[in-house]
This record gives sequence, structure tokens and C-alpha cells, in this order.
Amino acid sequence: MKKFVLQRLVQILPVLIGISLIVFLMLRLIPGDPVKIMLGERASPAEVEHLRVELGLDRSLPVQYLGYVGQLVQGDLGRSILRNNQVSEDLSRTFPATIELACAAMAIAVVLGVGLGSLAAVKRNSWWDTLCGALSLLGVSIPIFWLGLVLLLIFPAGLGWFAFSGRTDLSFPHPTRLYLIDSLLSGSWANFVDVCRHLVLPAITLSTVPTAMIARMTRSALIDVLSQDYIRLARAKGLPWLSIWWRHAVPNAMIPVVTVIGLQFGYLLGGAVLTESVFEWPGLGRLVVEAVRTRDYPVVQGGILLISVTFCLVNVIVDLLYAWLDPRVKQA
Amino acid sequence: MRPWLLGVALLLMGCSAQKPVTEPFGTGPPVPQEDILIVGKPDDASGLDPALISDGESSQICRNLFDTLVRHASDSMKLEPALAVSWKHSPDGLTWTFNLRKGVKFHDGTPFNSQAVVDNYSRQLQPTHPLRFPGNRFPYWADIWGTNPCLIDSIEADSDSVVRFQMHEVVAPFVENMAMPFFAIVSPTALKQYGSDNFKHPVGTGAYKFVEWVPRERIVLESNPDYWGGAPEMKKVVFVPIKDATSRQLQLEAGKIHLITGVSLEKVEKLSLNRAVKVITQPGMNVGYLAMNNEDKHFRQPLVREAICHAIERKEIAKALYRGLAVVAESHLPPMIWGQADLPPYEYNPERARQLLAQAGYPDGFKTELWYMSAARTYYPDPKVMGEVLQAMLADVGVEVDLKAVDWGSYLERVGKGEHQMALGGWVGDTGDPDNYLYVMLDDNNVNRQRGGSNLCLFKNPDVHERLLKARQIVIQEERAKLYSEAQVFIHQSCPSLPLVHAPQVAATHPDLEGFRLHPTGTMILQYVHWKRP
Repeated sequence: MKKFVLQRLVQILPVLIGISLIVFLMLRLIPGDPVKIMLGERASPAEVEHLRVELGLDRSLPVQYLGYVGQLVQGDLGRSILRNNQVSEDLSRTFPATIELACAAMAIAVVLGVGLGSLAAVKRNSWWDTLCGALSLLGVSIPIFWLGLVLLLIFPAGLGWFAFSGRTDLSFPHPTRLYLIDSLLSGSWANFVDVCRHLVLPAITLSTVPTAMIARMTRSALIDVLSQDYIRLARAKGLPWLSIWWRHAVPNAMIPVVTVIGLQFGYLLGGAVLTESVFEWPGLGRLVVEAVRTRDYPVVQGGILLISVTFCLVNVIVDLLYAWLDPRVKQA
Repeated sequence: MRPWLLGVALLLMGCSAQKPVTEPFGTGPPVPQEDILIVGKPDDASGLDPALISDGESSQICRNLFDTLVRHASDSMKLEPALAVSWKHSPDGLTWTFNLRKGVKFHDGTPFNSQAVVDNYSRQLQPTHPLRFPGNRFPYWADIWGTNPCLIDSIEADSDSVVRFQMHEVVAPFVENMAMPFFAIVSPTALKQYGSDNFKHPVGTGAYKFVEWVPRERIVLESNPDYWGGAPEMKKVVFVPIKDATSRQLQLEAGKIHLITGVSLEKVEKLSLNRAVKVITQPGMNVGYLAMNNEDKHFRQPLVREAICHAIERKEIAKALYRGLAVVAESHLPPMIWGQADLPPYEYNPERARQLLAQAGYPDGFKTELWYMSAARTYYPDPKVMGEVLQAMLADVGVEVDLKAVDWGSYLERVGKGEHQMALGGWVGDTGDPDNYLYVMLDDNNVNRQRGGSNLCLFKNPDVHERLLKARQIVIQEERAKLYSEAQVFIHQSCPSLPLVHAPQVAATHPDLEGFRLHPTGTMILQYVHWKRP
């Protein structure tokens, strides 16, 4: 098992080198000068040149890249060009926010998706199946920002339920920066309720696509498994339905579902930017998009690298889950 | 039907053509029980050390935390004492002496004195100053005073309450420049204590004290009971970044926040009818103009430029694109700035434009390109629409315009280098001095084809240049005003570019919030805000 994990981790390395190189080059090839953006309309050419030298942007691209990799090896992601604070500090603030949102959305997606998919598979070709199919289609095709706005109009603006934006209105210590946990650690029920009020709508909005994907995959995987000979045999042996379901059907149907969950989780990390924008969620997606706009190279590089590392790790975890669900994978 | 339900229904139907609202509607949300003000801003601050920032969002907050030596009156561009009670210059204009306010303390208890002033400015002046930390860059210091060489030679404390600035050369707008929020005074003790992280721990002498900053979530301030200008009534102010304009508006209407800035002009009419909101408009210290490249084969001819000026119906633009809230610009100088000239407006006259084009050798017009920036600016809420309107007006006189969107990140550099034929140009002033407008936008010294200058028309005129330079070197305002007035006459005659509009700034507040002042500079003054209670 250790060898299996190590193998997977080593495979991440070339991926990360490739990503760092692509991001580095793309940022520098798109039009726009970070120095001019930073100094604004008033900067004199001498000042622009001075800052360009100070930031090392006057050096050749290979030298800049090697310098960047050298910093990375030492664990230094650099300082934001715009704000001058450590990039790692920015990431350590925004990443937990995105993780919290993604986990909440994924929890909703797994419960609803697996539930709806199972219902559709069991009640195949009934109106339940049609309803689940329609809901899945709706989930995949509904524009996130539109749904977010509708939810804002209905709940906080109309009914006064939940919060408009942000992560909390209250002040309490943030040792983990995962506010659900921090609010519980603070010992105040009011803090926890306030954090939940803020989390519900963005999590629901973000969960629509993964819910639909998981539901569709669960349905097709279960239909496939339920038509297998071993399920028929189990039924013929007179095993109780629940036992057939949990011991034979669900574990075998879960491999493709776990794949989808893993992929969707990666999507949630990088693709939460629309939801984060509508609900002013101070997450990683918004940080990176804002940094692209202002050509804040170190922040974009650090953010994308972090998303990539997380995506790769999620894939490793998915691989491990495969091995757990199906021992043949580990042997292979 | 309830308004929000109607909104949802229309959104669900994908319908945007709402029935126009003409009658007042809604009810005012309750007044908060406590003296707390929640402000929704379009963005978070980039930092809270005034010397290090260059963005409006940060400076609006810093204005309430820190004081400058002199400042603008809260409702005009008139200069008034702040941390300095009086000031004077030497006869040759090379020395400025400030008498400082006594008995003022920073929020951390450090006494405010001349040494604090010297420390603050010396860290920006001297590259090896002990209070200059790694990564410190002072954009406004570099821009206004220069770095190598710097216009300021030295800053010295003559006594505990007198500070003296020795200049290398006369800088006429010296005091005006010192009123910029970027030259506010920070506690030297805090600078020593926090070093490079000072921008996260602001300690000033301002009306409000810093409490907390959770980046991208909120900045909290509290009233400074010992403020030399009188303690604010509002005990607590919370700034919340809300990028989306619709969300800001919804939260204001619901009473969740009490003050928003960056209200889009198209919302003003409807918001004004909502009893839950009070709309505040203020003429902006900005100008949007059509920059013609004076070195281009077409636009190097003054007759062509004059023709363009007569082909644009600016009143209609101000009415249609700015909901009648913008002022038609007759000069690059906003109306609230001194040094104005009595200029005859460029009359909208397409027939005259066609005649001028014919005289210039273009009886059938010509084909050209108009660049617009990809991002909205204060002076152009929608640059694309502005481009399309100009395109249609110019087509009417035979000038066929191709529109080209250019990414804002590279826009100024490319236009400054003169890659354009025509481009949308604009400027938001920092100070109330004409130098900050005319010299920047129209002087020879700011034409730079290699690196991109701020003179986006690449306009060079010896008569204008002579007057703008001279006006920088004398300190008597009346004489300067005369020079600026003359320079504008020459500019008007050459019509290097067409000033279009001075766009307004709009904020909206809770109907019971009183004392809020949106300054022409864009600064948000919260010292006088309070709740109207029965």
C-alpha cells in the first residue's frame, strides 16, 4: 500500500513542473504589464522601469523561471506584487474558505446525487426516473450565477432568510480558518448558526452541477450492476434486499461514482469562482481571477499551483478509494 | 405583488423589460439600535499604510484613520488646516514651513510632533532610511515628488512643532499635493513595531481607530474619543467588500448595510424612488475625452480634429449615457477646479464638420479606428457603448470608424505610445490643482512614444508648453490661474482632443443616515455621520 501511495505521489511531480511552466509562460505572454497596472495612470517611465528592475521583471524569461523554481524549492511562494504580502498568507486565508464551501457543496451533492440516482435506478422507467432525469438535466444546465441571484432574491432579499454574502458577520478567533470548525471551537452557538446562515446558499448553488453528475452516474452504474448475474444469484439465494443492496450492488457501482466525485471535487476547487463572486465568498477562485486581472504573477502562480496540487491529491485519494472498493486495483 | 417576488418572476422568465417605476415605493428599514455603520464597497483595501497605497478603496478608509498636514474642506476643494495649523513659503518659493497642531496623539498614544512628520516623509525620501522596509514602494511619493532626483531636498524639524521642507525647485502645487491622503502621517512607533507588515496595522491620528481587518471580509474601525476635530458620533464602522453592484444594492435596500459606493448610473433613477434608500450624487473630479492621435496621418491636420469636435453631440451623450447626471466638458479641467477659461463650446454642427473635412481634403470622409478600454472606468461606465455612440455620430459626417476593444492592462501603454488613431481617454484628478490635469494630459513633456506617456493625444504645442511649465514654477495662485486660462485657450484652438464629460460619483445610504459627505476627490468622510433618531 505504501508503495502504491508513493508511486502516485511521485507521479504528481512532473505534472506540477509542467503546470508551473505553462502558467509562468502564459502569464508573461498575455498582453498587459503588471508594473503599469500596479503604478496606474500616473507612473512616469522612469518609475515604471525602476519597479520593473526591482521586481526582476527585466530579466530574461528562463532566468525568471529558474528564480521562481528556486524560491519554490525553498517553500517561498513570493510576495504579491499588488499588496506586498506573502502569497502563502493569501492562500492560507482563501484556500480554507474554498475547501469549506467545496466540502459543503460536495456533501449536498453526494447525499442528493446518490439518493436521486439510486431512486432512479430502482424505479427505472417510472415517473420517478423521469423526474430524476429532468432534475439532473436542470442541474447541469442551470447557469450558476443566475441561480445564485435567484436564491439571493428569494431568500435574503425576499424572505429575510440566510445571509447575502461573506462567511460571517461576527468576530471570533479563526485558528483553522474553516469557520464551521472555528465557530464550534469558539463555544458560541450563535457563531455556528451565523456561519451556517452564510454557507447554505453558496453551497446549494455550487452543488447543482456535481449533484446532477453524481445522480446520472449513480443511476447508470446501479442499473448496470443490478442487471449482473451475481445480483440475480443473490436474489435467487433469497438474500434480503437490503443486504443485496449494501453488500453487492452499491460497492460495485461506486467505482465510477467515486471517479465522478473526485473529478467534481477538483472542479469545485477551481470552478467555484462564479459562486464565490455572486456570494462574495473570499475564496481561492476569486483570488486567482482577481490576480490574473491585475497581472499579480506570484499570486496567480501560487494559486494555480495550490489548486493543481489539491486536484492531484484528490486523484490519489480516489485511486486509494478504488483500491479499497475493489482490491483487484491494488493488485494491478 | 411584492417587489422581490416580481423580481424573481421576471428573472425566471428571463425578462428584463420591467415596467418603469415612476412613483415612490418601499419603506425605510429600521434604524440600527447601536451607533454602527456598515459600508458596502466595491473592493477590499489593498493596504492601510497611506504611503504605500495608490487605489481609491484603500484611501477612502485611510482618510478616516489618518490625517494629513493640510486637507480639503469636507464639501469643497478649499484647503484647510489639519495636523498643521498654518504654513508659509519663503520668498523664493523653495522653503515651506508648517506650524503643527499641538496636543495631538496617535491612536497608540505616541505624541504627534515634528519628528513624526520628518520620520514619515524621510522614509519615502531616503532609500536607506531605517523606517523603510523591504518591499516598501511609495507610488504617490515617486509620482508627485520623483525619486531620483526628488523635488524635495530635505525635511527638517525646526522645533517640536515646526517642520521645514527644502525644495530643489519651486513646486507651485506643494500644499495642494500635501493634502492628498497618500501623504498622511503614520505613527512612527507603529512603523518601528510592525515593519513590513505595517500596512496591516494602521495607527494614525484620525477620527477613527483601527480594530480589525479580515482580508476580503471586513475592516472594522471604532470612534476615536480623543480626536482633535471632535469625536465621531458613530461608534463603529464596518467596511465590507461587495464586488457585485446588484448585491450591494439589494443589501442596502434590505437594511443589511447602510452605505454603498459605486452605484451604477442606470440604477439611480429607480433607487431615488425607493424610500429605503437615499441617493447622493456629487460632481466628479474627472474628465472623459476623445483622444485623437495628433501624429496620425488624418488627425495631424487641425481641420480634421476640429471637424470631429463639431460632429459629436455631447449633450446627448451626457443625457443618454449618464442619465443626465454628467456635466458636458468644455475643458480637461473639471468645473470645481480653479484656473478655468471662458471657452466657447464646440457646437454640435454636423454640416460644419462636413465642410471642415472637405477643406482638409476629405470630402467623402475617411476610415479610422477608435479604441476603447475593456474595463469600465469612473468616467466611462460602459466604454463600449460610448464607442458605439461616437461611431454612429462620426458616421453621420462620413467618418467610418472601426471599434477596437483593448485590454485595460495594456491600454494606457499602447495608447501612450501612439499606436491608436482615436481612443477613449480619461483622467481622475488627485488634487484640486490645474497642474494635475493640464500638465499631465496635454504637456509636451508627457509625450513618450517609446514607453507610453500620459499625453494620449501626443499633442505638442510650444505656447501651451511654455505656460504649463511656467505655472509649475511660481507660487502665486492668481498668476498661475492666468497662465492656465491662457493655456486652455490655445488648447481649445488646436483641439487636440475633445473633452466629453465630467462623470458624477454616486453613493446611496440608509434614509436615516445623516452627515455623510462624498468629497469631489472621491474621498469618503465619515467623521460627521450619525443616525437620525426621534
